[in-house]
Amino acid sequence: MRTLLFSLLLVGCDVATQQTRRTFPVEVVVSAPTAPLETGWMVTDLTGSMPLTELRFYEGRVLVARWSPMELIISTAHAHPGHYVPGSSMGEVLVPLELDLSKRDVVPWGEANAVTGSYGSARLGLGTVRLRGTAVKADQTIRFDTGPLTLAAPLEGIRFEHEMDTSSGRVRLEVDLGVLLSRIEFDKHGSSAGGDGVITFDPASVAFNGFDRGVTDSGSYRFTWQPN
Amino acid sequence: MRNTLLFAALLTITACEPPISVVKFTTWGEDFIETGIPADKFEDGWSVKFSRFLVVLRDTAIADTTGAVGAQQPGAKAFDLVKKGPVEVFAAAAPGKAWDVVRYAIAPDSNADATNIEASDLALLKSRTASLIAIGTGTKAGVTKSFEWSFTSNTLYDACERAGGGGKGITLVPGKEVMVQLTVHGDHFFYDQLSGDAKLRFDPIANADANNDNKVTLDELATVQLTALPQGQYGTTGAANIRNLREFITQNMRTVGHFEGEGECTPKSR
Repeated sequence: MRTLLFSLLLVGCDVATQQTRRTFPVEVVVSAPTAPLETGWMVTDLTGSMPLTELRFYEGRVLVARWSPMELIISTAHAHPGHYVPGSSMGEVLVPLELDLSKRDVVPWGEANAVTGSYGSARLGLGTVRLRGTAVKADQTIRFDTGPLTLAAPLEGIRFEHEMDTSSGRVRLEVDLGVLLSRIEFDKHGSSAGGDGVITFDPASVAFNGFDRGVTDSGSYRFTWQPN
Repeated sequence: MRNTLLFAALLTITACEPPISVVKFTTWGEDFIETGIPADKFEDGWSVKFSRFLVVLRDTAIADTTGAVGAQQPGAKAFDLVKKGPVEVFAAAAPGKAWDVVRYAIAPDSNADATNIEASDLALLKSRTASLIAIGTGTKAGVTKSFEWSFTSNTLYDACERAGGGGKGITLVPGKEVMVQLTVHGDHFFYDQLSGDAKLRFDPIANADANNDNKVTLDELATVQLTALPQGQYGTTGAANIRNLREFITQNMRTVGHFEGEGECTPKSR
């Protein structure tokens, strides 16, 4: 009898927090810097690839810190090292996509298997990322190759706040190369040019360090809901 | 005696009201703030001792899922968590039932009242419009670096839940006093990651002492770009636009508020 009562209570709870299964498309667009970076470097002729291996949405919301005049987006849902708790999983795209970083058009990624509810953050899996281009600052021109960067784990805690219902629309991921490149000090590459004039960053260099930190900066990725 | 009087006063409530309990909030900085963080906790051999850890607590409350508030801290209070705790924040009567929401804020307040804090320290908090001031030293191999860091951040620690899946909020037992601890973690300033597995480090902080006066200021920390630190340290995965050591430590400052020891809250900037 007590088991039955407990089961009925569970049913009641289920009704109260009911979620509806749904799918929605996820698309990706790459935006490149159109002005000098904050380091003063102007970067052009960008090519490269960013393999997107997985995308998961979670309910855990992120912390948005506003520091006047600059807004910081600080995105640890439970901002405690080792205690990151993204909460319940709300949706996922597990089909990989090789993202061409030289293209600026919107690329369909895949259909997310998801549920309705309150979304707060996303986790993005990346394969080996590599960029090439030309960086110019004052009288310096550097044709660079970042070399390959492979992350040990997916990027967690990227902000995506949306009350997902059954309405029609899609999620857009914007990869902002302006933010991603903004920490690179291109002249601190720790290497010398190859026969083709291209300098490949030494993996131990300050330049590669900045590349690594730009790729892992959650500000390089923006998720938005695009209603149809 | 005070609680007895509180219960006695509650007897005047009519029988149809929910049974009444008393919730008593305390705050505590644990051993790390009261006595220091020993060298074996740090990756690089430093130890840290706080001489003062001044914090303003306000907006402490319990509420249910409908938003109904069961108890609300009146005003704001300032504490020095180096002094032995736990210290009472406030106590109030509330219906004896489950309260799913526990929240509190570490935030500046020009009208904060003194508790166990020196008058001069309360004045310091107010003059700097600070929510938290951490003053202490790091020591290693005969070298001592002092710091005095003031933060003006306003952070609400919302939806607190107990560690180990202990559930959100608290349950007040009718006729009983229930203690709730707002725990502050002083070691977070020294974590070298914003998410994932983090280690405690002080070397980069000590090395930031650009004028070599053995005092490490937030301005000096702001000159240390994270790209100048070894890869694998001071990672900002899960965060955006954190460029230097000052921003990194300030972000970690926003995570010091906990609940019942290791319990978590969701920090929200205000």
